[in-house]
Amino acid sequence: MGHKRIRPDAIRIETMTKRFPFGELVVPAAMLVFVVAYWRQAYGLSFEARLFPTALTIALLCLVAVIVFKLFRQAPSVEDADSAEASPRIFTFGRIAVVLVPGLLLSVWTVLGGIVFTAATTFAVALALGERRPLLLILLPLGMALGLHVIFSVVLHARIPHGLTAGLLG
Amino acid sequence: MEFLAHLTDGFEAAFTLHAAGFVLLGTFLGIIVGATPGLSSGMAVAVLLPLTFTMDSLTGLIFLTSVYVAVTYGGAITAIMLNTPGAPENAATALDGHALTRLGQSGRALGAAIAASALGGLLSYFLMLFGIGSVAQVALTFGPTEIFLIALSGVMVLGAVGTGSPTKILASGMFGLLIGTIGIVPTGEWRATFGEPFLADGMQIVPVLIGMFVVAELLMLAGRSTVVDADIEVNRSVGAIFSGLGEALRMPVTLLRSAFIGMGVGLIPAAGATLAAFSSYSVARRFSKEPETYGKGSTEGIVAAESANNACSGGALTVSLVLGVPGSVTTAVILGALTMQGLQPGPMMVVQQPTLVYGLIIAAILSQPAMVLFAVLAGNAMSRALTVSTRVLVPVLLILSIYGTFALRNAMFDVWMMLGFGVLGYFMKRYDYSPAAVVMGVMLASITDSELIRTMQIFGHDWYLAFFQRPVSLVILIILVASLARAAFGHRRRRTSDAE
Repeated sequence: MGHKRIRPDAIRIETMTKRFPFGELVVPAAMLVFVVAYWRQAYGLSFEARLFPTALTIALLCLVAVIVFKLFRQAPSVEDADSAEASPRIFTFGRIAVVLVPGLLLSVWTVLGGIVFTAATTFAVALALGERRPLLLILLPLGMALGLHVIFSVVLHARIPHGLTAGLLG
Repeated sequence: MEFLAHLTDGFEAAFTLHAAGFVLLGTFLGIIVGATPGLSSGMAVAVLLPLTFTMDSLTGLIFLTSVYVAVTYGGAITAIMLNTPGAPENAATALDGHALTRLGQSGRALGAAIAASALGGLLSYFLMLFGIGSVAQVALTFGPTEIFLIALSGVMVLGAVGTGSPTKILASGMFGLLIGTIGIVPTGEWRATFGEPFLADGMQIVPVLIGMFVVAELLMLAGRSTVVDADIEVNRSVGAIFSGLGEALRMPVTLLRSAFIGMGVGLIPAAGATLAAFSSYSVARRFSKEPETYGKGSTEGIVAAESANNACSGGALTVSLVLGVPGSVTTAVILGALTMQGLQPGPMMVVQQPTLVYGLIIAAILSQPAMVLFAVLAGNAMSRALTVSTRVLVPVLLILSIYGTFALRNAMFDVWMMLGFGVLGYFMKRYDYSPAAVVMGVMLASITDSELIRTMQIFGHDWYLAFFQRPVSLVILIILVASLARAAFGHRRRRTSDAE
């Protein structure tokens, strides 16, 4: 039984992947969704009120068409698996946490109050990004909460809700 | 005589202990933020903008202008020390600055950068002090067609001078302009407010710029453990810094030429300090007696780049105040601060608010020696803090962004908008779109829209002919079309040569 000989270029072909850069479509898609939503609201306006947005919309749609056309002409790109791995990932746990943690806690902003929100968000985001030093995980949220309370509530008179700390702050 | 009276009022307003304190604070914070890679000048001013909400107009503007002046120099520290420009405008400085650091002469490079930054800035603001009145007089002759085209060029020029794809940058600008048209129209109609009362006043600039500049950048940083890896041994003795200072002063021609280039580029809406620094660097290299030393540690190269990028700020601020059209992304934020204070930038501002305008320029002049002082005394310590962990930086700046946005109107709606723009800005940065063009578009939409409506009201049915019949607007139109065509063909040529 002779061993099946594998050519080096065949190995290389196996490590190459055909990828369509779907991430590239996020921004054009967001632009198109906005345009549709905008004109659902604005189609009944007077000529003066519609002229500038109409010109902008036509220009934007033409530019988006050019971008998408270029994208499809170049794609699907054949990438080396190694280089694909080397490019940084769009979604990492840390990035998702940076948006999701404040998003979730902001939805209960009035209940938590500014101080608790600040401490909880700072702690959770730092932890999600990989901070493990206990002293820093205690002092940073506390320092931020108290510092920002003084700057924004006391100095800048922003109406930050007291929430859970209402009794504490009177 | 009138000019002297305005100058005296400006001096009286700026030469107070209160104002001097904010000049020092702004300069100090500007250098720190500028020295942190990833935190651009626009981001620095955006993050500190909420602190001005309760200040009076002049103090708030003095504070933000001092940050703006210092942040460009701060970016030079990292460019020289770590080959990591604090902001794009410091990229040209890194070419020779870091080469000197590798030769163990970082102090000399820092000294040259300090002197060039301060002198470029000083010259630019002195020109602004004596020239802004005349520029305002010229601007007063502009009609709605001219202002419409200049405002539109603020977005278009970004596509023409940017290093990325002109198509993507222009699409970003158009998208920003369309977002900026939300709100009540000059005709009195409500346009695309989605039934949301918070949008009746139009799209607020603070959530857009904090989202696009700060949150998007934080999402980029969240993928790294430290902002920058700094393992380089550096020599930053004060003696070496003074040696660099002296060396820069012995190059008056380069200093002056670069400052004029910087000021000139700054006067072009949205052209920005990056273009100024690279243009000046190329010109200096062409006229240099030792062009072969460029890129290998030429102090002349550092002087050319730093003098121009700081001088650019004076030109950009002049355009912003006189025309109400941002000269750069950072001045767009300062314009946002002006409008939040209830002030209307434009040629009439120089006539009606001379104390504010001249006080602001004098404060910018005062911030130059303050910048030199901080740079020499504290530059060392600041550059040591560059390896700050993103695990600390990201949550701190994120919370500051949330509070800063909320404090604008005490509205959670603005915070949600900021987060939304942050995520969009992240994807835009990731795929080479331009968040800066979106911000410029949102800023400029109301002025372009209202000037277009004014054009229609003044010129009637044949309103579009006004753009061709008025000589100034025709010239602006030709320049605009030519620069766009050049950008498109230039980009195509670059891609073809890259493919070959």
